[in-house]
This record gives sequence, C-alpha cells and structure tokens, in this order.
Amino acid sequence: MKVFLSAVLLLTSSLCFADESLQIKLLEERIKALEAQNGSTATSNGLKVKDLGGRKIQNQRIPSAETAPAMSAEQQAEIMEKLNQFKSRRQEEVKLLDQMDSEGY
Amino acid sequence: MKILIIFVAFVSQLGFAADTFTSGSGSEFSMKSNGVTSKLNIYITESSFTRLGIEYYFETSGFIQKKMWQQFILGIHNDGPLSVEAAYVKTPELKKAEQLTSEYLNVNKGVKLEQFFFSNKSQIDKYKVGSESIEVPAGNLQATHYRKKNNGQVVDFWISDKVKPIGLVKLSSKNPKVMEQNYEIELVSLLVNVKATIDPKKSGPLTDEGKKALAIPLKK
Repeated sequence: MKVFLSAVLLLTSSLCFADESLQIKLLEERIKALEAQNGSTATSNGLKVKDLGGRKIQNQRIPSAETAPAMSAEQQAEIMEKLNQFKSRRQEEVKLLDQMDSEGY
Repeated sequence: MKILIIFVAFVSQLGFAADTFTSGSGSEFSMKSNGVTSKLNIYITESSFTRLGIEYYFETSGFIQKKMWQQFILGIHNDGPLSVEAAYVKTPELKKAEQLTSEYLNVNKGVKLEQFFFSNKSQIDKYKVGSESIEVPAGNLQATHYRKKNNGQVVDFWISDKVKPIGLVKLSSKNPKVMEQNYEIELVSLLVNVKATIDPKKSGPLTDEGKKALAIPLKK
C-alpha cells in the first residue's frame, strides 16, 4: 500500500512539475513576444536592448506623452500655481494642527 | 527642467577606438529628480579617430511635458581631455536645431560638463570606490563604483564596459543645498540603430526661443 501511495504521489508531483514547466515556458515565450513588439530584446549577457531600426527617437510611441491632452504653457503655469497654493495651504494646516496639539486642544 | 546633462566622459575610460562607438548605439535611462521621472536617451551620432558626436534626448511626461534634443561634437586628442567642438539644441517648438554659444556649455545647475571630463584612466581611478553587483531596470551586472565630490555635490556613479558605448549603469547625485543637484539616473535598456534627430548642417544660430530651453549660463 505504501509503495502504491508513494508511486501515486510521485506521479502526481511529476505531472504538476511538468505542468508548471509548461506554464513557465509559455510565459517566457509571451514575454519574448511582448518585448519583440516593443522593439526590446535581451542580449547574451541578459541586458535589455531596444532596436530602433534606423528611426529617430521622436518617432517612438510613448503612450504617457502621446495620449495625455496637450496643454498650453499658460495652463501648465496655472496648474503649477494651484498646486503650490495647495501645498502652502496644506503646510499651514499641518502647522496649525501641530500648534493646537501642543497647546492641548 | 533646465539641467544640462553630460555623460560624455563616462565613455572616455572605455577607450577611444572608433569601432567602440558605433553610430546609432547608446543607452536609455530613467531619471528621477524631485519626484518627477524623466526619460533620457544618449546615443552616438558620428565617430572617427578625431571626432565623436553624441546626442541626448530628454523627455518629461505628466502635467508638464517637455522634449529636448541636444547634440555635442567632441574633439578627441591623444594628449589631452575631450573638447567640445560644437553643440546644438532642438525642441518641438524650435523650427530647426540651433547651435549653442560657448557660454551655454557652462551652466549653473545640474551636472557640469568639466566635472566628468577625464583624459585618461588614472584620472578617473582616483575616484574609484570598488567593484559592485548592481541591479537596474536593464538587468543585473557587475560595475565599478566611483564617487566624485564638488562644492557640496556628491555624485556616485557606476560604470561597466558591458554597457558600451556610454558605459554608465547608474548615477546618484546629492546636494542638500542645491535642489537641482538631487537626482538619480538608471539604465533602462541599451539602444541600437537610432537615427540622429539633429542634423548640424541644417542648424541655425541660437535664438531667444532656444535660450529659453537651456539652463542659465554661468557668469565669468
């Protein structure tokens, strides 16, 4: 009985191992395909390499920059001003809370 | 972000054989400065025994988007340091690339050009800290760690000949007194077959618009 159970256990673990190996291989192939799509591959020493195929850097598709709505310099300045105002107000609030805390409110 | 970033000198320790600097090869870096992550690409545009052309592409995304290309033509001398023969700037707002005047090579913020010009291996060796295993987005590798200090700015940088032609793996700059001198740069990937954006032959003189894109020059 013990021998039978050991054999079943060994067979099951071998099958699980084979299954995991297959999954790892599939994932590795998927990574390679995605890297190739992005123009990126790995060198022999394991470092990432991007082949631009003779294109200029400006022709690269950069999702974050390409999809973000374009803003004028004035709009950017206004946003920065608002952010700075918010930051200084927040600092004042924190200062006030600290002061209240130290005064035992 | 008005920082003139120069890494030209990192290549100097790799030797000046023309075949080391293949046109179109370089590195892509990510740069973190004051909570903003930017992209920085550096690649070779031309290479001969006496001249070396390097182009930089700098891009920030998010609310404040900025794109800028800079190209430097360097003279290679056997018995002296590298010299800047010409420099150019291009932004999407400029109609064509503009040639920098000499005062714009010396800026009062960021990494200064002359700090990283090493004429020979012994010159850079005095800054050597040791050999270290380092992990960057491009992968893991063994690199040589150097540390250079100048006016309160401490720059740690890691160099490896496995990431030729630029050679830089990571750079960390710290200065508690100057906000612009706190940044970190890491290698994201190596680049091959990149075409230069700036054509020096089609460039014009530096205009007020071009000056706005550059850091403020040092007053001598």
